[in-house]
Amino acid sequence: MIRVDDLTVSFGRGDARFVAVNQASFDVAANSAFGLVGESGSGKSTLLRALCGLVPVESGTFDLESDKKPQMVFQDPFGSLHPRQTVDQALREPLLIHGVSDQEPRIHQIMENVGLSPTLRFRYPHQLSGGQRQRVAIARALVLEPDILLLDEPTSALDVSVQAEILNLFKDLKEQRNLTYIMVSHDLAVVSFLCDAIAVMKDGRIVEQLSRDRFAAQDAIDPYTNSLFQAYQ
Amino acid sequence: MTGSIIKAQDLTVTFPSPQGPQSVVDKVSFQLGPEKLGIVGESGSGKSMTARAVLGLVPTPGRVTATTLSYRDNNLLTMPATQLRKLRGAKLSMILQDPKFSLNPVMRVGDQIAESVRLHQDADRRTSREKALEILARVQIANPDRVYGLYAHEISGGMGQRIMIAMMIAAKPDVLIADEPTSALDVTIRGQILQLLDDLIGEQGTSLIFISHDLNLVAKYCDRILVMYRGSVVETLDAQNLHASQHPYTKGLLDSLPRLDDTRTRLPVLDRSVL
Repeated sequence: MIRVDDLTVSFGRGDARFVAVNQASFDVAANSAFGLVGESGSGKSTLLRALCGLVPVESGTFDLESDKKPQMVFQDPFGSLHPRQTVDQALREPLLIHGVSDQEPRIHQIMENVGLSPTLRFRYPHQLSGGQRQRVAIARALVLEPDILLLDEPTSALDVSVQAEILNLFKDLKEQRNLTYIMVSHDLAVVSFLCDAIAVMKDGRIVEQLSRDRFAAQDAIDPYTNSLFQAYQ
Repeated sequence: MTGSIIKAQDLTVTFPSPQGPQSVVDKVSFQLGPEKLGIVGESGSGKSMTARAVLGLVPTPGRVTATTLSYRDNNLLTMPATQLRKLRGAKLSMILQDPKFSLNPVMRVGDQIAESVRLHQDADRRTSREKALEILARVQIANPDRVYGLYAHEISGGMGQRIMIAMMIAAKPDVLIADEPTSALDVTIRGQILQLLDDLIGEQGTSLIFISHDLNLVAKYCDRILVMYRGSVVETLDAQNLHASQHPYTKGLLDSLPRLDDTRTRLPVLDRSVL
């Protein structure tokens, strides 16, 4: 179980202080998927980055209840993969850094798990399709066998047919590897498809939390959540 | 078709490659009347390149050929470059996805609109400035005097797109090509921008080519839709009939979209072998 309590992240000081995440609190059950939705600037990505240690937390606490670091998957795999590293190098690097010995079987296994053909192993990112690149980014996040994956708009740069493949893959991997997800997305349908519970963010605050059933039924109380549902129509 | 403004017959765009010329747009034919025509397809389907070919903006070494490519009976293929450039500013305009790249970063946005007024409406500096302020108000910018003096990096995506539309109002184009004009925007802003585009089109009688990867959006917003796949138009249909499409590609794309109240636990994956 992940517990986040009164988490606050701010940038700048004095008059220039900007509170990006304002006292966010939520729990995520183990092996479930939690969605964060909101418009750009609502603080959803910053919250995700704080959980990964990419931005400093000002106050509040979070407990991931895992002795392994969470891993992150970003929106644009072209930007997150090194252009001069082959798939093999990209997957091997985290293993080298963490001193993992059984590299060969791990790389083999993870490529198979994310649906990457072994023939792609020595290709560079520009020689892969968008979907294949995102599979490499997912494989790289999973190769250290984390318990938690943080997903920042993981399918919004992909064509819808490829998005469907990647969403199915996330569902499979969650069961196979007993993963817990926190996913940020602006796409309500994508979040609804993958997540068990959803928090709606606005101006750094969580304005409402809904179960997937209530989210799917558009059964919201907060006027802002309702305005998002309306815009989705 | 009577009243067709743009006619394209067998429009083809090829790029050289080590394997010989590759067609990224392959014998595309369509006519644009006084309507909102949507072009949908995945990345690489040739939808943007089709639009660029109409405007004569295919980058080198691309080659454009067609049996017919005309704007109101003017042959766009044989038109001299200077004349085409004039036509492009005045009659055929384009709005791109990200206004940050289309606006001049070292020129105040108000001056850019004023420049557009001056060029297209033959106004002097003072009148063009006043017109620019008027237009800013028309695109629902709350404080035109303040916004006039801002630079591209100081404005939000939604405001940038309003300013692009403001420049279009100044130019009063006959045909507007909008390439993913709202893809970089939040859904709540998207509605406002589309409404604004609608008003502009309605008032000035502009025809619109709306390029998007978002099938639902195009179905709601446009009158007619071309579905493109691998450089070809695979289907042309009325927007209201999109969801009833029986074409395997169109149907496959629609099926692969998750829905808010989806009861499916897996999404169907497009079977490209049947295409």
